[in-house]
Amino acid sequence: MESESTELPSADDADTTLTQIADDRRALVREVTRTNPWYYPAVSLLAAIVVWAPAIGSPVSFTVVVALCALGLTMLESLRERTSGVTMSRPAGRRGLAILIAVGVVFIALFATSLALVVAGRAEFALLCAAVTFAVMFVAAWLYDVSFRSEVTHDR
Amino acid sequence: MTGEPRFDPTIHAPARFRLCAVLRHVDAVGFGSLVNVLSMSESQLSKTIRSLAEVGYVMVTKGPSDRRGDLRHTTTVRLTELGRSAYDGHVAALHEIVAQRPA
Repeated sequence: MESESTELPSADDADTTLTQIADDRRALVREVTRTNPWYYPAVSLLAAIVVWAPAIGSPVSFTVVVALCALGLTMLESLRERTSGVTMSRPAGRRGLAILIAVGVVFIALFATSLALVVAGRAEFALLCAAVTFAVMFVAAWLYDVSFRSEVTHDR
Repeated sequence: MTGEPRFDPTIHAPARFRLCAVLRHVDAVGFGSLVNVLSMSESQLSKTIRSLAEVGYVMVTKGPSDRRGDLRHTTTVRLTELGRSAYDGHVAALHEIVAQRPA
């Protein structure tokens, strides 16, 4: 068992201790983000399908597609957790939280636009909204990763 | 990350401090991933987890393995609220010590 010294460390030792944890956190970030090549395109695609879903027409089909996408997102997250061995339910810092909020707002706006276009009889434009959703989600996911890496590694 | 500065000898031991630092930004980490991240032997990591669990700083959860036919259990480790608060206080105390260094 490691010894428990009650003696306060010197300023240099305290500084070294704080600096050393950055290496471990970099390793943690690698562990978390190594699943990204398949995870983010899949999440972006499912989000795009949800935005496109109002164009299906039938309320039953719409509900089924959205429910399947929700199930797919849950399964993707579960698979990501099993692969990386790391469970996260909150962002690492303020920047990550800001990205999540922005993505949520943009997603709702695109879904509302798609719905409005379908109601207005311009269902063909729902596909455009879906394409924008895919692009936004993909870029936001990349930004979220960059932010996660920075906030976890540099927080001392 | 903020906390009332409080030097905590329980956390200051290097392996324990490193484990808390890794767990601080996530909900939970599996035992296998912790071995990879911290580059510790399984026995050293087990001892470190046990010592922090004894004081209520980490919580260990055991669940069935995902692999079919694998009867072993997976072990997941998370920082408790008490552990989080102790870690934040300890980090704040270390920063205070560094800040007092003569220029």
